[in-house]
Amino acid sequence: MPLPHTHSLVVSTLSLEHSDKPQRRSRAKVKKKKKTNMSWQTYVDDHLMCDVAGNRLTAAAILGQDGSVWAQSNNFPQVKPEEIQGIKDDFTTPGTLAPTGLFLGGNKYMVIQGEPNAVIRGKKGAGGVTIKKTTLALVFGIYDEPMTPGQCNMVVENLGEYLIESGL
Amino acid sequence: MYGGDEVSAIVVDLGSHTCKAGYAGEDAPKAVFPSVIGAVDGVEAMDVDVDSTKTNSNSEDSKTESEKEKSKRKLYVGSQAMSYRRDHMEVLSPIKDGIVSDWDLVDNIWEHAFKSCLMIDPTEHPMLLAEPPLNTQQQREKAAELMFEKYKVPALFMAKNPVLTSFATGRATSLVVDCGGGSTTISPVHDGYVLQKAVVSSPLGGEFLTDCLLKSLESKGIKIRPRYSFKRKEVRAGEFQVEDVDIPDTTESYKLFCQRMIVGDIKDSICRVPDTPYDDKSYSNIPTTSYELPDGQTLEIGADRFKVPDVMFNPSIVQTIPGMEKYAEMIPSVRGLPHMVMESINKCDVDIRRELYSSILLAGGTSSMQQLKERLEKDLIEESPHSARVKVLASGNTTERRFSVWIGGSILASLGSFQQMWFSKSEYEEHGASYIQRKCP
Repeated sequence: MPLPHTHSLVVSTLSLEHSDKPQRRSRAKVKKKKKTNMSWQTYVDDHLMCDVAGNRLTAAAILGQDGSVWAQSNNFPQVKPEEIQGIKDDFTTPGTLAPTGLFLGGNKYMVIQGEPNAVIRGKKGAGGVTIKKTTLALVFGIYDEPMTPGQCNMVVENLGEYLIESGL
Repeated sequence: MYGGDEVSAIVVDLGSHTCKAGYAGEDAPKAVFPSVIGAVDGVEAMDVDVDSTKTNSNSEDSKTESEKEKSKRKLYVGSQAMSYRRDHMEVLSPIKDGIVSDWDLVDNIWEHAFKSCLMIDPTEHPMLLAEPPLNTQQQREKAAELMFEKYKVPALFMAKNPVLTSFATGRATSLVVDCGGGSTTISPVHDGYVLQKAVVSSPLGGEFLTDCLLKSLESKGIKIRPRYSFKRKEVRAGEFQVEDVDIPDTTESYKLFCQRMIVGDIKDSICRVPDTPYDDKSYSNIPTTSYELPDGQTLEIGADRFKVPDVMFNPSIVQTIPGMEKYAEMIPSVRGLPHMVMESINKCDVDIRRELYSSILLAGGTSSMQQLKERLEKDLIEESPHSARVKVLASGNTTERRFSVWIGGSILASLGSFQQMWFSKSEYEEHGASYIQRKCP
């Protein structure tokens, strides 16, 4: 698993701040921390499991696209290799999961509209899951009532966009 | 989080046939008008009808040639404007194949709804827009951009038509059968979301049936005369003779628009879905029903009462209607309503199919056709898996069935728990239009 490169993160952050793009792109704000404390777990704890308008994800994780666990919250389910493979297949060929459902640790989610090769969204009762694909990773957010699907999307996809912009 | 409790949101459902708009919280849209627009190219017409017109005269060098052409158009929006014939006025639709293809027309329709019908200032009202289930990301972003940049709305949400219909009946899960004017769409809704991959659509909607009836009547020598095209002359006390009025500068599209209005009313008045598949022999001797045309002609309509609506169930009937030859290539690939329903359900997860069969919701103006519900239920019971418990549900109230999308939007936008879901103006300014994908999944 790649280590978060402090140097490249700082450079990326600086370049973003000086961007001339007319429309500012979303990015997660990275708190300044000592080098020794920078870790993938920090991304999960501070940027995924954070408070959003009084609501919080029930579980979150950043996994490598090979299924390796970079970081996860305490109650993130134990995913199986075939579940990860199913997710990757659906990114490659959207629609493969819809007839069978999306499984995470044995929990079944109905697939709703996502974004081809970028986002998969699932629904289970009033809650659901959002999975954002980045260059090297998969960012997971699992939510339940009263958190809204839009709020989960914001947290997961904002972090995912940031990772993509950082080349990760 | 946008605090949307203060003022009523505006709900807009722009369909391919009609646009519905009104205040959230009310039980029916305040404005209902045609989704088509009259357009006169390139001339400065000396029209006194100022209230219903809008001139897009601001040309810019950066616009493409077609945009320059569009900017010279004089556009006429709304029932009243469309009821008045004008020389060289073409009738245009902003929607092609279910997707917006002309945003300038959409813009004018929205403006008509806000300014002329509802008489509101859009900067003061959050907007809930209903959208088709297969709407593209680009279309959503374009709509968001137009709403925030031009109308400067304080907040926006976009919800899919079948989700709103399902919501209007208090269901989180259902199979929505939306028989609209321009198309028929089957959409499974699960826990408040469309199961995208299982959406099935067909171009056979109410307007197609109207065209079938129009061609069938014309093939029998019946002339459908729009009001502008004839005058009645009293030849004897109490006796009138109809004379055609020659108005050569009327466009074919406007003539067709007017004929469709007349034939659409005939269809709505007398058509009835047959209990079993239509065949010519069984219906050759049935009693006729009378209908008086605007020119005083009385029609006697027999088999067509049952033949035309059966097109929804057996599209191949179209081949037997003179004048519908141009659809010969398209028809073989179109399936009837019961098959579309089963096709959609079979694309869904096995675990929810049973629930979908027992919650089939009818929606859209064409679904109000007499006996359509009963026929669909009967056909599905016969053809669906034995384990399925088929139940076709439809509001007994035709207004609710016709406007179910709008009504669902009205309910949704009024909910306290919905208020945290708005895509606010400040979020748009910070993140841009693409944020709509996250805020309104």
